[in-house]
Amino acid sequence: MISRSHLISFFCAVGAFLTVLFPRQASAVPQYARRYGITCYACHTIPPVLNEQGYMFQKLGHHLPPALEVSKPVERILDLVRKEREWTVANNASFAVSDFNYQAQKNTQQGQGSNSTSAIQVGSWNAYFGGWIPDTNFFYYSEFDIVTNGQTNPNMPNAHIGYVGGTAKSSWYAIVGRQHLEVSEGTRAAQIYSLLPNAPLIFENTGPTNFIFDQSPVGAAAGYTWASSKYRNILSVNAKVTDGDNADGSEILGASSKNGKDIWADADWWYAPESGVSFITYQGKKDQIQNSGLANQFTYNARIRREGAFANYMIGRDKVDLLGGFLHGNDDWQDPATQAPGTYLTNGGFGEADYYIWRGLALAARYDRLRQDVTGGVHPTNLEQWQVGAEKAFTPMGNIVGRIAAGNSHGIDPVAFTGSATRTFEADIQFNF
Amino acid sequence: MKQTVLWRFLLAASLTALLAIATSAVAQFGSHEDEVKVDVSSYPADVQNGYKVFANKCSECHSLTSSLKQSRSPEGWTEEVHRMQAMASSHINNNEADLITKFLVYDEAHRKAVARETASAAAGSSPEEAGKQAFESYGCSSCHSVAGAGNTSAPLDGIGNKRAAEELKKLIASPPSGSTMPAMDVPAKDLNNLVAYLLTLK
Repeated sequence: MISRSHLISFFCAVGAFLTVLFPRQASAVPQYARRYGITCYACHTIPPVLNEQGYMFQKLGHHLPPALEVSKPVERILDLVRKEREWTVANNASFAVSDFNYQAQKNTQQGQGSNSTSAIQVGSWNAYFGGWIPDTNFFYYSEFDIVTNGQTNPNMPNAHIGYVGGTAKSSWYAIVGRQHLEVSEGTRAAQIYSLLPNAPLIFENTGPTNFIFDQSPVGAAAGYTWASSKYRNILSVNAKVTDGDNADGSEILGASSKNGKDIWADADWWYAPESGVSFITYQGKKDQIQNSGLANQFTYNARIRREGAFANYMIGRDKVDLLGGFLHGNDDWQDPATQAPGTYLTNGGFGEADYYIWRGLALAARYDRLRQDVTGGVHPTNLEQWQVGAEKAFTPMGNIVGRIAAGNSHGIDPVAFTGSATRTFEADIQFNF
Repeated sequence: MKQTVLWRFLLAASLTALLAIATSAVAQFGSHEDEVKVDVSSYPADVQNGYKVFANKCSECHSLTSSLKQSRSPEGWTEEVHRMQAMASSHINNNEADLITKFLVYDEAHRKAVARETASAAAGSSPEEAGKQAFESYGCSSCHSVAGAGNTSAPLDGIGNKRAAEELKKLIASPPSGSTMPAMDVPAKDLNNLVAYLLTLK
C-alpha cells in the first residue's frame, strides 16, 4: 500500500525530473546584432552563452561597450546613446526566435518499471522587444514566450524598464518591472544558460520546497559596474528585491494575498580573457502549498536561502573553458503527512569543460551532483546527472545554431526514498531572427 | 457582426504589421553588401600572415567585407586596431594587432589605391561622377546610405541642403573628436570630388 505522502513525493520527483530534463530553449536576442551590424559572436561565445562583451552590454543599459583605451577619455553613457544608430522597430524587436527539437527519453522509476518517450516539436517561439529610448539613458527589455517546451503558453517572463548612468568605465543601473531572477547575473559559470540544453542541477532542481531560480518575479534591481582599461578586469555588484508569491514564481501578476519576498545579491569579477568568479546569495520567503487539492492541504511560509560560488577559467585565450560552481541551500520545510516543521538542506555542485574547436563549433561535458537532506529523512540522498553535447552554428552570423546532447540522470527522492533514472537524447536547432 | 469585422480587421492588420517587421528584420540580418574579396597571394609573406589573423579575429564581430571596404590613413588604421584591441572580448594581443595593422595598411596602399585610380579614370570628367565613385571606393557606404543603398543607419540624403562645401570638407578630413566618423586620408582631388557629389544630394 503506497501512502499518500509517498504518492505526493513521487509526483514531486517526477515534476522535478521533468523540469530538470526537458530542454531549456535559450536564445539570443538578434535585434542587437542587427542594430550594430555585427555578428552574434560579438556578445556570445556561441548563442546563448554570453561573453564578457555581452555581459557589459547588459550592464551598460543595452548599449555596445566602447573601447576603453589607456589615457583616452572615457565616454559617458549619454555619449553612447547619442552614437546609437537610428531607432527602428527592426533593431528593437525580434519576432522569430524559435527552437525545434527532437527528444527521446527513457525513464525508470523504482517499483514502477520503465517507459520511453520521444517527440519532435516546436520547442519554443519567443519574441523580444528591447532597446533604448532615443536621446535618454532609459532602456527597456521584454520577452514574450509564445511556445514553451512544446506547449502554446503565452507568458512574459521579462518586462522591465531601466536607467543607466555614469560612464562606460564606472556605471550604475536601476531596473523596475518583471525580470528573470537569475538571467544574466554572474560570470559565465553562474549563468543559467550554457552550451548544453539543460542548466546545472543546482539552478533547476526544485526539491520538495518546489523552489527554482528559473522564475520571473516583479521588483526592482540596481547595480554598479567598474571596468579597467581594455576590460582586463570587470567588477560588478548587483542587488534585487522582488515579490514572487509562490516558490515557483507563479501567481505574480494576478491578485493574491500570499506573501512572498526575495532578496538577491551577487558580486562578479571578470578577468580577461573570459574568466570569472561570482558569489551569489538569495534569501526569500514563499508561501508553499503541501498536499495540494487534498483534504489535508496546508500552506506554510517557508524561508528559502541559497549561497553559492562559481568560477570559470578560459585556457588558451578562447579555446578551453573550465567551469564549476557550488550552491548551498537551507530551506524551511514541513512534512506533508505530519506538518512537522523541519529543514531541507542541499549542497550541490557541478564541473563542466567546454572545448571551442573553432568559431561556431564546441563540445561540452558536465557532471552535476546534488546532495539533499530532509529533516526526518533516514539519510541524505544524491541526485546525479551527466551530459555531453556538441553545438554548432550554421551561419557566419551565428544566428542559426544546432545542438545535440545525451544525458543520464539518476537519484533518490529525499522524502519518498524512491529511486529513479532517466536517459535522454536530444537534438535541436535554434533560429534567431 | 460589427465586432467580427473589427476582429478580422485587427487580425489582418496585426499579421500585416508582423510580416512587414519580420521581412525588414530578415532583410537587415541577411543584407549582403557587395562582397569584397581580396587575393593576398601576391602580398609579402608577413602581410599574408596579417591577413590570416585579420580574417580570423576581425570576422568574429564584423563581416570581412565591411572591414575591407573602409578606408584609413596608416595612422588611422593603427589607431583603429588599437581601439578594437581595447573592446571587451576582443582577444587581440599586441603581436596580432601589429600583423593586422600591417595587412590593412598594405592593402590600403595597393589594392584599394588601384581600385580608386581605376574608378576615378572610369568616372569621366565630371567631379560629381568621380565623387560618386570615390564615395564607393573609400567605403563610405559601409557607414552611410544614399537613397536607401548602403548602411541605412546614417543616411546622407539631403546633406547637400544642410551643409556647405567647406563644412563637408572639414567633416571628412578632420571629424570632431568623439564622432564615430574616422579621419580619412583623402587626397585633395578626391576630397573635392566627394564634396561635389555630396552637394548633389538634395
